[in-house]
Amino acid sequence: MFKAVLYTQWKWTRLPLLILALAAFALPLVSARQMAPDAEYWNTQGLLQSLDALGAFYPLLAATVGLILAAAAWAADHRGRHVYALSLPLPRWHYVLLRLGAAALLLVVPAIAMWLGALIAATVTTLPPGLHAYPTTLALRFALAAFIALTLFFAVSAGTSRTAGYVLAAIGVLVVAQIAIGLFDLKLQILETILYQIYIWPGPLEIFVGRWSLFDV
Amino acid sequence: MSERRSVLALLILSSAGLAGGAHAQATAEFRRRVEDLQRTARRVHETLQAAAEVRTRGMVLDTLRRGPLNLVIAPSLEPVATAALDSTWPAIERTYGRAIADLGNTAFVLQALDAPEGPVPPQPRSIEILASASARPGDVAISLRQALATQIQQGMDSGLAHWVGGELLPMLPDSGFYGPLYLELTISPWHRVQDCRRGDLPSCRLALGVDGRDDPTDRWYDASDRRRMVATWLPTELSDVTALCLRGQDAACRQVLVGHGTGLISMPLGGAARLALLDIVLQHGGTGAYDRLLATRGQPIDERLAAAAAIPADSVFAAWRTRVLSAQPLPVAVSPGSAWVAVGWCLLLAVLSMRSSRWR
Repeated sequence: MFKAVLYTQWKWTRLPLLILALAAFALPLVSARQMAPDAEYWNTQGLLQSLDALGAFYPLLAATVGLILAAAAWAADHRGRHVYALSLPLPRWHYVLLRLGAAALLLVVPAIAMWLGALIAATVTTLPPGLHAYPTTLALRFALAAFIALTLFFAVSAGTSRTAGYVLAAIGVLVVAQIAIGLFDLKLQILETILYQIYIWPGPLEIFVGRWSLFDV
Repeated sequence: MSERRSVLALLILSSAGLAGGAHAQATAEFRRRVEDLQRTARRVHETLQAAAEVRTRGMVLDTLRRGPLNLVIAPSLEPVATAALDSTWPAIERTYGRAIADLGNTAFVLQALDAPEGPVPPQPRSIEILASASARPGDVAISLRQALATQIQQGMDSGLAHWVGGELLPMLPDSGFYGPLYLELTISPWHRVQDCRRGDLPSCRLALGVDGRDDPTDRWYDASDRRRMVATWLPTELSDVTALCLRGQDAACRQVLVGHGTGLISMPLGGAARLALLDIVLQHGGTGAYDRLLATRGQPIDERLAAAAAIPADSVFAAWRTRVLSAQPLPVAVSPGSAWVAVGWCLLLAVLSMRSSRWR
């Protein structure tokens, strides 16, 4: 059963997945192009800054991979109003696990592509003294971030439209409340506090923030 | 009113400049016109000053006092200035000890040109600290800190001031000052800095310019450093000596560097490293540390630092090195705690997916 689910999900996602895998493979190589082997200390500081700027693309790519795999996993079921899934002699939790497992396995493709790209970039680059390459760590972090994004979007997609509506409405209420608080000149930061909880340990998106750089001290 | 006068004055100025056409003129004519322009400029300045005085006459000012410090402000800036002063003053007091008495000789004016009451009128014997009426307390605190530190350090002796080469700002714990220093210590090309990073304290002294000031070309740098210096800073100076240096003759490199005077030879570590060292000295020394630093005027820098920190000089350098190395920026690596938390969130979200109400 898992093989069938995996095969269908691969068929639905193979094109975007290959494009994303290509991007994941290329991103470390673009980082490597920034490095100059004979960079002096003064240039090295500038290089690290430009690598930091480039680092923003890694979590963005991880989130995109998670989003596309999650959306694709449920797209056909949503279109068919879940008739096919309901016709199967499987409990829902089992079916959900099959879908999630297949998406998680497909996620390995861009993660390995990034690892290979990072390994090649690290091999062909002569680093200035004091700098090191972190190909494996970067790829592992990318995989973990993509997995978080996948499960998050998968959970949202798995719910009903009403649930998604509730989530969106809750976000809207928070934004409106924050604007209203601002109008009354009160020093209460609701959104900031919530975002802080989400992005700072042990928040779910903590892995997305921080330095994402193939080359670092 | 003042704007209208300014426009009028500018019109007068322009017409004075344009009058007479573009025909050839004698030197005397030019001189007369320059004098006219100068007189007009003076009148404009006086008019603008009078307008400003009319606007701010009768303006009630607030004065915030901390120890000997008097900070003159427009009333609307009171909340921001108080918050900034409250966050800054303890660090100033702790860092500079008795030297803060020097602040009593001068009034400080927090000048916000966009304050609703208008700018604070000129005060006798005062130092203006520029700010914006909409500035945050943190930004005002930085300007305040800089102005106060600059004023106090007027009393620093030339030997120490020359070595520091900058303003000694009392650091805040979250100032992020040490991260760039870690980077400098790690990737600096100079061998003394690299030896210091590996734990050789005499090299730290040399890299910080505490020792070796008698012969910096030789003692701060080795042959490869000297060649790198010439290659980096004087690559286009294609004299025979430079060419010999670039081919690896150290004597030629010395000749080039010495020929350029002392300006080319700076300390292997930058000014921020020395400021950090002083910061650590003052933190170790606690109350009275800055006073002890000033009291040992004329002694070698390392002895002065040791006296101020009240610990042996080598311990000062070791503490500095440890502090800088502890500021390593977080690399790409994920800590095991973060990884497990991420896995935990994934499991939780997977369970939530399985419990969806879609099929109920």
